[in-house]
Amino acid sequence: MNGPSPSSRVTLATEELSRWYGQVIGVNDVTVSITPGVTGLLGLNGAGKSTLFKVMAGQLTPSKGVVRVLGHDLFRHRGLFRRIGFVAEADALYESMTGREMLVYLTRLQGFSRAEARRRADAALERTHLSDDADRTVRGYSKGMRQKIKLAQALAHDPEVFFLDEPFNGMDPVSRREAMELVVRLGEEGKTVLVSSHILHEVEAMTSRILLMHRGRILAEGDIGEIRDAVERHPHRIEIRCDQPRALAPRFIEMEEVQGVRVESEKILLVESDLPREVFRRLPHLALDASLGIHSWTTLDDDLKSLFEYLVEDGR
Amino acid sequence: MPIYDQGYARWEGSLRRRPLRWWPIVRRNFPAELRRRRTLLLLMLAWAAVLVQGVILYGDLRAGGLLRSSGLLKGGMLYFYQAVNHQGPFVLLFVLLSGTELISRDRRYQALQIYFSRPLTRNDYILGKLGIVAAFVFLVSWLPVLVLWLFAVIVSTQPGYLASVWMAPLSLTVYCAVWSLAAGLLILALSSLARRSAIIAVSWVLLYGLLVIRGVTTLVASLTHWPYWGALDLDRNVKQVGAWFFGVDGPLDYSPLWSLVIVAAVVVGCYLILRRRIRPVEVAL
Repeated sequence: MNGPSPSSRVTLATEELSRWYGQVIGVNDVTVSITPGVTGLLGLNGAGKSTLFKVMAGQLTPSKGVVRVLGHDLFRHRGLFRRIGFVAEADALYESMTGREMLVYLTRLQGFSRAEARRRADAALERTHLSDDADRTVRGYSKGMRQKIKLAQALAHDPEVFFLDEPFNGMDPVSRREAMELVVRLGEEGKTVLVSSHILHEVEAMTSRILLMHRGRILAEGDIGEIRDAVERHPHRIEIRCDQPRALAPRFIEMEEVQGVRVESEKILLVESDLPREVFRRLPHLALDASLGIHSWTTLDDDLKSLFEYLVEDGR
Repeated sequence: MPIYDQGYARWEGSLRRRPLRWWPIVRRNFPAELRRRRTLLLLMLAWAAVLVQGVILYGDLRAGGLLRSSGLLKGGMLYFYQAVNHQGPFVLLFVLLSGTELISRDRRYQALQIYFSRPLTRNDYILGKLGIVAAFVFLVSWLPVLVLWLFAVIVSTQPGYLASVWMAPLSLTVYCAVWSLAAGLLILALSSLARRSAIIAVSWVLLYGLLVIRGVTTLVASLTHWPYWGALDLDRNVKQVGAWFFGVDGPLDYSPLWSLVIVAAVVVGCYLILRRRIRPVEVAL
């Protein structure tokens, strides 16, 4: 029997993983397998993604089940942590050290000599664009720089598996783009990167592979396009702000793609469509009609919450 | 598909843990504390105290043991036991200064998850933190008294002097190790339980058996004629164990074996607290 190709081989897996806190279940019977590349872990607040993340990264022991990293039970081989890079969601930093000092210290804890730790720390600072600020104390770092130093400490020992828990929180747009490019590059280099977020488009920019969590379970797993297709079956809601919603409503009613139209207020019209692209195509033309006074339009369903609502609805 | 049907990208490298994982913790934090001005000042005072002892000893050895024969200065092993005990206030001060924030700070900064996302075990972490406290205990007690011993051996013209004190370095080392273990683990356990430094420091002083506790236990023991009240005074039990190593009489009126049991119980208790309290992620139920 032929084995799977190296790129499809599982580097990170859970088997019937559960974690509960007293009476509360954080993660419920989760079995997933992840191959090299970037995988997004998505979930609303309270979905259990932080708990799953912490258990998979070896920060919390599971109440039941197994976590396998590179084929080994993580909780039986402490040495496996040498192969793991972890970015915590919380600001776990030493405020009184400089960025470089902290990085050298944390790299030394991986078992490297001082000289090697310095070399690796410098390389990681370079990679995260922090070299210029490396000798400032962490206390004076902005939120974005703190996120970068957290990324740098996860990179410095060149691990094979990365756990990045909300790594872009608080970053300015430029830093965010740089950090996202770095994550994509890690995936391209053959590293396994599990990155959690509650922002769908952020994850979409890095990968098409996602795990969707809801109430402690994996709600959907796989290609983001497939999951989006499932959502396409549901009508999207488009909110249009205009001066004459009652005059605008008939223009949409005549469209085949529109399932419903509702005047929400004197200035807002709500359009429901299973093909929102068609509505968006038509909107600029309508906006040219000055008598309608269209100011803006926005889709109400392009957020993760809606995606979850649809998927949960589908599952019923 | 069940995941066990799939192939794993199995890592074939060594999974064995490397020894001395805890060393970088000591190596980074001990010099950092040592560089502080207040630490250097106290260290100079601690060493000055031993220097004074050295001068007195030198004078006595030159004067043919005048102070010893008059009973003003103890001789033999007792001299070195007392010399190390004279460093006691400095030892306690350094344990407080170096140990109070060692774990509470990590908990405050949520740094425990940084440590435990590395191939460190809880024992490595505890050992690293204890190493910092122990380094200070050895720096203000073991090292200066060892130098004093060397000095005494070199300048002594008394025949048989070396033969009478040759065991002192070994006794000193074991005594300081027990001292570091008891005082260090107690401050670490308290540091893992509380976050405010003042609370940790006051609790340590009380539990280590100083000030009020010492006064009360001494008074009650003398009133009741029952020496075992001294069991509540950890500091004197440590000193009793030390006296045993030096082969001299200790401060308590019961067997040093009891003191050893008490010290061991405190050490085990503190270790168990540390094992329980040190977790990468704190779960509040």
